[in-house]
This record gives sequence, C-alpha cells and structure tokens, in this order.
Amino acid sequence: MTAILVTPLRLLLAAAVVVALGLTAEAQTLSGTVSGTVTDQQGQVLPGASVVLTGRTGSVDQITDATGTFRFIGLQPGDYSIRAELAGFQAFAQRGLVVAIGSTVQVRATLALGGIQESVTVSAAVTIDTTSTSTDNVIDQALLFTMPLSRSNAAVSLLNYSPGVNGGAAFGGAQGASNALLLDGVDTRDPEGGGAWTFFNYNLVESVEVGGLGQAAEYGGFQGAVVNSVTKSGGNAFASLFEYRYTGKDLRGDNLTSKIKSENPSLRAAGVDRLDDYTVQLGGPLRRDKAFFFGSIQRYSVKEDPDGPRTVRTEVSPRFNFKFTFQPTSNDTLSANVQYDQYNQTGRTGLGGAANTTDNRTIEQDSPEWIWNGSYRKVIGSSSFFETKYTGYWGYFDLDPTDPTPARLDDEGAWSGGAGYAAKYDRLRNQVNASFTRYVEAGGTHNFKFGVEIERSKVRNRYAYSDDVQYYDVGGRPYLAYSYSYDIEGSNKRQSAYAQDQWTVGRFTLNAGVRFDGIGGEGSDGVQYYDTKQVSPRLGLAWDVFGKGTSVLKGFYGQLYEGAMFQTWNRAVSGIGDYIIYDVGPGNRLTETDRISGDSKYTVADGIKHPRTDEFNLAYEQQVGQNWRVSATYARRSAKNFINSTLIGGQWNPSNFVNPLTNQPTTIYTWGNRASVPQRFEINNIDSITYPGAGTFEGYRDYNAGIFVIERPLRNRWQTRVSYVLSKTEGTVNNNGTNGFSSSLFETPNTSLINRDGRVPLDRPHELKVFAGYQIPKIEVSLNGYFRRVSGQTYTPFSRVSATRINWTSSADIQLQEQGQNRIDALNVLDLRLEKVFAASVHRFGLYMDVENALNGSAVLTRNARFPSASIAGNTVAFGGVTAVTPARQITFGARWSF
Amino acid sequence: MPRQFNCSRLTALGCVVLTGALLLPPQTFAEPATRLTPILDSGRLEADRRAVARTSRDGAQSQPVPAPSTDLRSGSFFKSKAGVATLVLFAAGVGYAIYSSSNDRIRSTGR
Repeated sequence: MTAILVTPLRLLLAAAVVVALGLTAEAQTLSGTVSGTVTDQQGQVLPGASVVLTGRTGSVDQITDATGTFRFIGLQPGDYSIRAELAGFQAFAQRGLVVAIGSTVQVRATLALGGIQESVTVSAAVTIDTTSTSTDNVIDQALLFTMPLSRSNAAVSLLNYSPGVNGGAAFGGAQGASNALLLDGVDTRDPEGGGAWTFFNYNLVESVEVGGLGQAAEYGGFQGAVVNSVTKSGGNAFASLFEYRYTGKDLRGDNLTSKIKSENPSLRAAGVDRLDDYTVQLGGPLRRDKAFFFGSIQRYSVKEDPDGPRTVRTEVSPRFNFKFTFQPTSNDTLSANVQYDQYNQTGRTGLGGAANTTDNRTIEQDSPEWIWNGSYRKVIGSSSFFETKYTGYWGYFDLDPTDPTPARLDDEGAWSGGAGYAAKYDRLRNQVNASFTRYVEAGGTHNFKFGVEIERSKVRNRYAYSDDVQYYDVGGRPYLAYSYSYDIEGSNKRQSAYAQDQWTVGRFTLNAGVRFDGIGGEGSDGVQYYDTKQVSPRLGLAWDVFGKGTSVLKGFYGQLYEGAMFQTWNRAVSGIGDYIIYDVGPGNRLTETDRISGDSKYTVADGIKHPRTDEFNLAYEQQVGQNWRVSATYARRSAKNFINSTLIGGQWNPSNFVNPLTNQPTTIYTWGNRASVPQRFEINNIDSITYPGAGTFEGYRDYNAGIFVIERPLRNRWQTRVSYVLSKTEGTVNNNGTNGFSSSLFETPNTSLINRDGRVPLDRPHELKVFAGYQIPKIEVSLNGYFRRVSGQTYTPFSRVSATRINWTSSADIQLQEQGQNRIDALNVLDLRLEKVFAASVHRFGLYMDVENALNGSAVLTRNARFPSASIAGNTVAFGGVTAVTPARQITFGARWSF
Repeated sequence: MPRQFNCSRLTALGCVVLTGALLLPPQTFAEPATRLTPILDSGRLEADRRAVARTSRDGAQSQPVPAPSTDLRSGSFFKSKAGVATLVLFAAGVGYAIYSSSNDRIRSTGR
C-alpha cells in the first residue's frame, strides 16, 4: 500500500462532489475498520503479503504495501477473521475480531519462517483505542444476549445501562429529550420534542454504541448522549432465531410495605400481569457473496398493573422488519429495509397523570408507523469510502378517552370524570445523509471525514378537552371551567455539514472538527417562525502514554447543539384556540368570564439561539493484563441557550406571603399592570431575564462528574463491568421535563425567581452499576446479574397559590425551600438471568429465567412535593408521602433456538 | 415488611423445567463454553471455517472449531428436518403477527 498524497484541492473537490450529489442525512458512522501490519519474527515489515478478511457476507483481500501495512475500511459491524500469508512463511490467522460501529481494530500479524503450518490467534478480548477521544460504550451481542437487560424498547432502554445515564437523562442533559436515537445511522426521534418515536426489539440489533462524551463533529443534534443502533443483516449462511418470553401475574411479587401503604393508600404493587413476546427471524443468501435477505417478525403483548390507581394497561405491538442487501462487487454495498409497526395501547393516563388516573379515566392509543431506510456504501481501495443514507418514517398516534365526559379537578387536587381530552398526533420525517472518508499519509496519518445532512420533518398536533371543557370543583360541584384546544402544524428544516480529521503523529492524535447546523421552523402558513444557525467546534487530543497501545490519556472540548424540535417554537404558530374561562352555574350552565386569544399570543424573538451544551472532559484509559480495562474520566457540561417564554412588558408588585412550611413571611409577586398591558409572550433564551419590580433570573445548569469504569469482557467463563459515577447537577433550569427548551415556568417570577437555584431533581450524586456473568462448569449454566445503586431524585416542597392571589392567568406552584434539599433514598435493584444452553451442531437452544428486582425491594421513585398534602385518587397524601415505587420482583421465562 | 413472594403453580412449573434442565448431563453441551453469543451468527461461522485452529499463541484462548453437520450455506438446508422446522416456525410467526395486526388493532375515531 503506497502512501497516498492528496492535495487540499482534491479533497475539496471530493467533498463538493458529495454535496453536489445531494445525498445527505445524519451521516453518522455505521461501519468499522481493520488495519495493521505484517512483520516477520524479527519485526521487519513484510511488503507483498496477501491479507484476506472474511466476514458474514464474504471476503476481501489486499496486498501489504511497502511498509507492510493493510487497511480494510467501510466494514459492516460484526465478527471477522483475518488471514495473512507470504511465500516462505507460515500463514497467520486471527479470528474473533469484533468490529464495532466506528471502531478501528488493530492487527499485528507476525509470520514465522518456513513450513505450511498456520498459527491461529483468537483476538484478545480487550483493546484500547489510542486515537479516539470519545468515551463510548458498546453493547454487543455478548451483553445483549446474556444480560438481564430491559426488553421493552431497545431504542431507549439500552441507553440507561451506560455510566452517567439514568432514566433517559444523560450526563446532566434533559430527560428523554436530548439524546440522539440513531437507527442504522439516522436519527429517528420525534421531531416535536426529541423523544423516542420508533420502537424495535433488542434482538433486531446487531450492535449498539452508546456515545456519551467527546463525540466527533459527525455527531450532532444532542445534548445528552448518542445511541447508535445497527440492525442485523443476512449473510452467506442461513441463520435464524426463534424466541419466546412469558411472564404472568403469579410470577411477580408485592413489594409494598405497610409503611408505604400508610403514606399512600392508593398505591398498589405495580408490575406485569402477563407477557407474551415472540420473535422469529430468518436471514441468508439469495445469491452467494452477492445478495442477502433478513426478516424479523415480533409480536409483543403485555398486560400490566401500572403505578397509581389504574389496574390495567395493555400493549399489543406486531412488528415486521425486512432487509435486503446487495453487493454487486466486494466494494459496493446497497441495503434497503422497511419496518411496519403497530403500537396498540389501552390504559394510558388521562389528565392528572398516573397518580390520578383510575381505570375509567384512561385513554386508548392507536399508533401505526412505517420506517424505511436505504443506504449505499462505496469503498475505494484501502483509503477512501463514502456512505449515503436515506431514512424516513410516517406514523401517527391517536388518543381517545374511554370515558368521553369532561375531567374535573377539585380544590384538594383530586381528579374525577373522564380522562379529559382526545388528541391526534401526526409525524413524517425524512432525512438524507452523505459522508466521505479518506485516509491520507501526510505528516502522519490523517483520517478525514466530510459529511452533509438534510432533515425535513412534519408535525401536526390536535388536542381538545372532552366536550371542549374541563371543570374545577369546590364542595363537590363545579364552579369554574376552562376551554382549550389546538390544531397546530409545523415543519422542521435542518441542514448540517461537518468536517473532521483524526491526525495521528507517533503517539499523539489530534481529533479536530467543526460542525454547522442550520435549523429552521416553518408553519403550515408558510411563515418562517424559527431560524438559527450555529457552528460548533470539537477538539480532542489523545496520547498513547507508553507507546504500547495499552493506555491513552485524552482530553476534549466541544459544543453540542440540540436537535431540531417543533416544541421550541410551536406556541408561535396559528391554530391555538382561545383559552376561555367560565363560571359554572346551576345545571352546569357556563358563563364566559375571560377569554385569552390563542392567536398571535406568542412570538419568537429575533436572534434566538438554539439550546447548547459546552463540554470538557479529561480521561485516562489503561489496559491491565490481557483481560482488564480501567478508565477514569472527569466530565463537565454546562447547558445554556435555554428557550422558554416570558411576558412582554410585565410589571410585578411584591406581595407578602407566609411560607406555610416555615411560617416565615416571604415575598411573592402579582402582575401589576395586567389591566393596561395585553397578554403577550416572547419565546426567547432565558439565560438572563429581568422581571421589572421583581428581580433578575439567571438560567444555568452545570454537570460535573467523575466516572470510573472497570471492565473485563467474557473470557474464561466470566465477564464483568463495574462503573461508579460521582456527580453533581445543579442549576436553575431543571432537566426533568421541557424546562430547557419549552415551558411556561418563566412567564411569572413566582415560579422562576423563588427558591429555584440548587440541585435539580435528576441530580444523582452516586451511581454504581455492576454487570457480572459466570458460566458454571459441569452443568453449563450461565448466571448473569445487573445491580445498580443510584441516588434518589431530589424534591422540593411547594405551595399552590391561586391565579387570583397573584393576579395571573393560572395558579402557580411556589417552592418553599431552596431547590433540591430533600432527596429520596437511594435505589437498589438487582436483576438476574439464569440460562441453560443446549448446543447441537450449529444449533443453540436456550432456556432462561429473568428475575427483575430479585431482592423484591421497594425503592421509592417519587414523593409528593405539594405542601402540606395532595389529594391522590381520593386519598390525602402528606408532603413527602410515597407516590411511586420501583416495580416488584418479576420472573420471566424464555426459550430460544438460534443458528 | 414486604409480602412474601407467592410461588404459584406457574412458578413451580418453571422451576421444575429449569431444575430438570440443570440436571441434564453436561455431555449434552457440545459447544465450547465461551460461545455464548451466536444469535444469527453466520459471520462467526464463516470466519470459523476460514481459520482452522492448529496452534495457539500469546496465551490467548484457542477454541476447537466445530464442523457444522448442517450446511447452512445451501438451500438444501431447508430440506432437512431443522430446515423444515425453521420454515414452519417462521411461517407460523409471520402468520400470527399478521392476524394480530388486524385483530388487535385499536382503531381511532376519525381516521
């Protein structure tokens, strides 16, 4: 392989060609690399050696260059073997090379003199990437197959097994909204609020890479983590999987203690009443080395007894996946796949949430979807390849109440009536990506990558109260009613481009990149409501400390911008109905007392900036012996550019208020010029806002963490991964909910200025996660466990003051203590999997038993924060009383046959 | 105090099946201990065939590569008992999922 000299002009031309093709989308890496050198036993390089790499879909070969090196690029993730030979030398073979997404596997092939023998090495289990500055966690088949992982929805649940991620909140980021969820390289999140939209089973996944810290410029649209899932494909051999899982009501425990029941009599032991989940998969060749197919069909059916007063929630989801792969040559790969999925749910919560939803206040959900994906990868020699991808999905979910009568809320906070609303949500998302990768030998080794991405997504949301009204009761009869509805529509338009280089000189690697994102939002009326453009630099440095490829010290600084979200600007579009307030007379006769126009109430500020997080981290990673890897990471993230709405021209008057918790006088604020100022709001960044007459609010959220990981992949019958995270997340903008990018919380100083600074609810000072697996000899039973101990959430007492008390349009929850001073006890949960494997020829039969919450602990998840009490399902729950606990012990049996 | 877990008939049945499985002789398990992950493992099968183990080096594990008695690279596989079972199970799974997509569908009003 000769050194390749490429002028900047040629590189520019290459990038221009890619752009000109218009083939774009989230061009995140889907492939990996195997590279290395061939030497003799004295360490002399061997040019001209033949190197053959064999994987699922065939073989590729190269001849080593003058420096004895080879490089196979653009490889599909999976297992590979490699063979090197040269006349006069014994052949070298190595198998068990696991190529993960975005990884580079280094092979050092040493050929012994003479003979026809072949020496075979099984790849060492532990490898250290001394060139990368990211801290990724790959969940490969070994973990997916053996560990008691959540089987609910791989798109989001697998994220939570990584250090620093809990409940969808990653490294201090917003819960469930700030993570890029990539399926085959393309983000498939809900374009409205960033949550998961596509659903798929864990056993559809070939490999999952959870990228957290130090991500290169090719990764964008996140402030939390990146979950990059690659689905399975067919190969030259027929392969199949049949799996069935079952659990029932009699296979779960009851973990509610008498103390918990006394605090909240409405709580019942939550868990699964019945699960029937089967998957059938079949893949193989249509034509050897050329064309392959893969099909996966799943029917997931679950009946649950959920949190709160509801007694049943059901979900039935049939899912169909088909993939076709075509390789006209060994350097060209075309792939197309499609998924049809139905998500049929009953028992969804109505107004008031889980704590206040009884069975007759539930909602039924109808939500079908189609997902499609097409990709093309072209490998050009050993130095260049480009990938293009096109992915999209169409779907909707409709919510219909089982009881169509209006909801009622009394002055004690108790809900009655029907679920309270009906809604229809429509989505269409299309993305095109293209990326071009080129290795260049010039003053070291460069790995350039250029990419462009285009996203177009549409959102339509329709919502209305049942019978267009919701009642407020006093003494058992309604006295107020509100009417609210909307039918809004918008499109996200995103154009992104990035350029990055991984430049290795000796033991140092510089990872430099820059990313551009233009994110706009357009209403159905053609008006451009949202328009931001941002450039985010990424800079990392990695140092192979001892030059042996067994240790790396790395540092990173980068700026991360959130993905495109309709929710940040959707209140500015037309289609929001008037907010009408009624007095309720005898016979529920409604008399309108106030009406707030839904039109033109919100405007987006000129020059608004897209939500952003700045990241700095420093990490050291060390291979210990052949089997262990340890790492220590310091990470700091600071979120900014929070987007929320504020009142335009508001004047605030201090008002005395006796804090009911301390009985001390304090100050709240009333809207002083309501009569003279129209109620209009501006959607803007709230990093620093002044409330005339009240004070100035400073918005921030900082995350600081030390992350320690010890890992030993499966060898000699056992494996483990232990991680501990010591962290602190504090600020004035919480990460549970949508406070960072859309809320009404900052429209009044009563909910933003008073006791708002402190540890946020999802602050987790201590997090210990332990995976461990052991294969018991003699009986050949695999015993695997996952234990986590995680600090509980913080909660802050609040008192609800009425709208009239503060001359505002709605009531306000005023925090009575500085935020975050109360914390729920730590969560301790142990999950186990016991599996017996029968193997015959190529067939593998397994019988397994999963025990979730094996200790049947009753860790508290949430507590009532309303002071002095709240009414929940007709029961009075005091401040601090339990409102949700972890599900009780549940045993699931499974059987599977694979080959 | 947490209530005691109620070991019902289903639990008992599951325990019996698992216990029975545990008591089966280890000779039943012809596959090497470390091969825990062959879900649709055609890539590994392919790789194994190309790399025949003769010696080991560097203290790394050396595993005997089982010679598959079933040819998974030929369409004739589907004429074997395992192949027929595969097709029957796959067809049954597809069929029931199609039935479910119609029968279990919650249809929203106004669509």
